[in-house]
Amino acid sequence: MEDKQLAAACVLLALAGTGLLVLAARQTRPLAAEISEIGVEDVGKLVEVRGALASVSQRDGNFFLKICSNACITAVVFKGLAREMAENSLDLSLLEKGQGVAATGVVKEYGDGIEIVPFDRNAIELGG
Amino acid sequence: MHELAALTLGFAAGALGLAPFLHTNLILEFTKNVFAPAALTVFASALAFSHAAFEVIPSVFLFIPSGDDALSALPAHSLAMKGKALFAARTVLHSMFLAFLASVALLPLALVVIPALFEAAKPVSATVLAVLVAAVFLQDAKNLPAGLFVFFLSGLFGFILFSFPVQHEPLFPLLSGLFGIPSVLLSLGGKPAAPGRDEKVSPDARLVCAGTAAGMFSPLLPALNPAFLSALALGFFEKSQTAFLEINSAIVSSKLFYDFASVFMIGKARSGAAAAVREAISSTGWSQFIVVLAAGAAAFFASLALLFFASKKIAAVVAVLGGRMNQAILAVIVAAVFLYSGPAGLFTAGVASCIGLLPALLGTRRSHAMGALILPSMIYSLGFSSEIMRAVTA
Repeated sequence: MEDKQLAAACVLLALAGTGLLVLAARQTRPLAAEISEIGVEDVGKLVEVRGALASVSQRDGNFFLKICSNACITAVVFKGLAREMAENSLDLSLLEKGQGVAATGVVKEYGDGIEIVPFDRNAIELGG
Repeated sequence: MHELAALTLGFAAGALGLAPFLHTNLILEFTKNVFAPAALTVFASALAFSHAAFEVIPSVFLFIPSGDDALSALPAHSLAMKGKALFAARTVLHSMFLAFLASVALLPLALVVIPALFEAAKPVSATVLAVLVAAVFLQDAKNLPAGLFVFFLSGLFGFILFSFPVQHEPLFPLLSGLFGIPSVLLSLGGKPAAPGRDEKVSPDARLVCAGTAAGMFSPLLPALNPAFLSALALGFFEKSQTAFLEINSAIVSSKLFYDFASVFMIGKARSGAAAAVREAISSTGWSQFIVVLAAGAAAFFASLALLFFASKKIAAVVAVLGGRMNQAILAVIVAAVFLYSGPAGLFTAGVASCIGLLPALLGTRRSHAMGALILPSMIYSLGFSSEIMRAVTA
């Protein structure tokens, strides 16, 4: 096989493989994780945590939900998503301290700690 | 286990670097539970430094591209194809030795500069990374479209792998596919290098110093590997195969040193061995760092001494065995991926191999495939990962 044909085959296979990975990503469920087990090595991963709301605060339209079980982590919901949630599923301003929640999002490093950042409008569920 | 025994075992385990693609992280994965924390720090450091020295032999003498793919040859392989394999190996070893000494000399400066820069660089790390990547691409303007294609394709693939839980521990199958498997495939039909004449080696001090400095700053931008840093640093010097080897070897040696130093300077582990040390140490006190450094230095200098005296004989044996075992080595890599990561790992390695073959087939740099690590790092730093993940799953 000539180099050009081989290159074309590699490009097609690589694109097909990446496409299959995208399909698999759409089917995957987030990793259910204990808050205490989440560390910097998990940065970039999609996780689901459950616990009680220790505090809810709002700044410039962004919401900060501190969720605790055996440890605590903050879920940061940026204002665009918070607005979308309020219109479709859950008004974050109505959340109260002590409520059980499940939050799904990407682990990110912020300052010296880590936080999770939801990206889906159904990422916060009551009753966790 | 006594620390002296851990040092000896680390040095001996590092000799497994003679076996191609048997990475330090993989060796640590199977051995780290044997040691108590104090001994593990010694073992991990000795292993990493010894392995870095021994792996020079297969990287120079094996996987020489066959005739049709000679254009894709790495600088060490190009020299080996000209009958200068022993010269290439000795250049690498000498440069690594000098860079280690230079790294020690630069440590007081690094202790002041790196922690301060680390905090200052955090908000702009993605921008700095983007500028450095652009600089590397601009040096190779002739093959810019091909290079960009490989970079972004590997970057997208890496981003999905690292962002979604589709593959447990994706790094090993990903890197095996991007670099290991293509190297073996491209060398099928080729011959291992004969050692060649034993020429005098005298590395350029400017290149060694530049490489050492690049390695010193590497903890600030963890996604950049030595090959990428070398391409960047070499932009300031006259380009030649020997120059690349000298600067790249200096970066490898210095980066290894500062990967461990980072644990104590900024609390970050920039390699698997450094991560093992970070988990094992009870504090980041300097007495612990001196132990880690001493163990690494002892194993490194012992390995270099052995290789300086016996590189010709060791190379001859490795070349004879390696030349007959290309298919076997390929089988071992595939088996290791399957055992470590399961069927999903084979899929990852397979797709990554297709991407990893592209630089050779399209005539661009193999290091562009490092987009698999660099692009996700840039996306995470810029804070766009949520938006992209949302687009992917929409």
